[in-house]
Amino acid sequence: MWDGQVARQNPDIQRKRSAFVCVRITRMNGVDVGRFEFDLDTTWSAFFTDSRLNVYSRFGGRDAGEPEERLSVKSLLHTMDEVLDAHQRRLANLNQNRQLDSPHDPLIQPAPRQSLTPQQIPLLAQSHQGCVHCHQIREYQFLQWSHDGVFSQRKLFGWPLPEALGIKLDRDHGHRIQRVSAKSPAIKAGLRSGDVVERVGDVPVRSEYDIRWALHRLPKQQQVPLTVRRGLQDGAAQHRILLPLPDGWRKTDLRWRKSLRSIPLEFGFRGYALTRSQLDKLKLDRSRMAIRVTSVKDRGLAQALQLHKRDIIVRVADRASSGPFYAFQSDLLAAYKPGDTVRIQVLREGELLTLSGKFPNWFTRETAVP
Amino acid sequence: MTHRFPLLILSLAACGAMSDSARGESRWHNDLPTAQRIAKRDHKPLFVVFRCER
Repeated sequence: MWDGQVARQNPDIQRKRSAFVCVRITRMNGVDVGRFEFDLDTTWSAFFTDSRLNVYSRFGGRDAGEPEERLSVKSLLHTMDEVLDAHQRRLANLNQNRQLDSPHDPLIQPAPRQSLTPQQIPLLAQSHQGCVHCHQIREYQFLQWSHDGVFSQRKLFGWPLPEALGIKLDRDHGHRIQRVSAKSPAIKAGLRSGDVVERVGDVPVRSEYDIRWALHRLPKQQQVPLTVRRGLQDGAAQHRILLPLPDGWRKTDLRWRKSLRSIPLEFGFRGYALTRSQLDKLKLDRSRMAIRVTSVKDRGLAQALQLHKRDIIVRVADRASSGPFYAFQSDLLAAYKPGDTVRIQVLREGELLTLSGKFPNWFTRETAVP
Repeated sequence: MTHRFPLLILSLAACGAMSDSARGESRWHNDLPTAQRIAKRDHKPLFVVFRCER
């Protein structure tokens, strides 16, 4: 397990840790998640800061694959080395009487836009007692934004993946490009394999998670400036590259996220994904999605689409996706927002039908998270 | 004779404390303000891990 490796088991990490003051926080109560901004659906995240909590780097993150697939000991050690180097450079600046806490210090990440402890979310303060889990903070944010009328599709899709821009990073380095996809925005912008991403916008980069945070916090814009180091160590030169951001670049697969259960959307129906043997019996492609509707209420999306009990949903947004009910939800949320016309295909009593209807407004009756 | 037992405990505790240090490890703190004070005193950066058990 990754957490055990970092906490105690890996000897290289243990040796490197002696250069840091280490803190392990297992209760989120009172933590400023504005300053320590991380993907709240993950169960492990790390920050490197100075004693005033100015952030040098963050480390962690996952996608819909295996939970620890994006983490590696080598890349953590690499990030730790880069943080120590930046810290020494700042201490040297301090000794030369230069301002350590300049808001424009290029060695530290930009200051948080807001401070937010879990207890400052009114619905959480009102409904939740005891230990607060990370995902519950995100879920209460969903409920609060919905009750305040400010929820949006964009709030669902945080922590974009570099792959969406055509960048595959070297997992054992963290922020060196291993591969650039053909016809991607990255290759059109001139990025190459071997380039080391040093800055994304105003964020200094020392890990993949830094890149994801920099992308996560970008306002709506068409492109983002990147600074990359290219070439061998001694002869390396910095290049500034404008990376275009294509439509839908923020959207990622949501199926693994625990917070998916608190999205303020009235589905109005329940269902489950058919098993392989059930798919075989119905002569449906094993690799494709098939959600059997088990109950329907006269509201929300079910009402808009006129879904029936026992319908089998086989396509959403003209895509035949695969996976469990959560995968269907993820595809639906990526494809549509309130006011859009939703299109799905269902099997009803052996007949293939196309259903369409308006995607409902964000709404939830819930005021508490289980 | 009467002092042997407490002295033994003390020396074991000291060995334990030294063994971490000898391995070059640093202990995990569980509160941020204490860690910040130590980081300021020792001119070290902080390594802050958030672990959420479900």
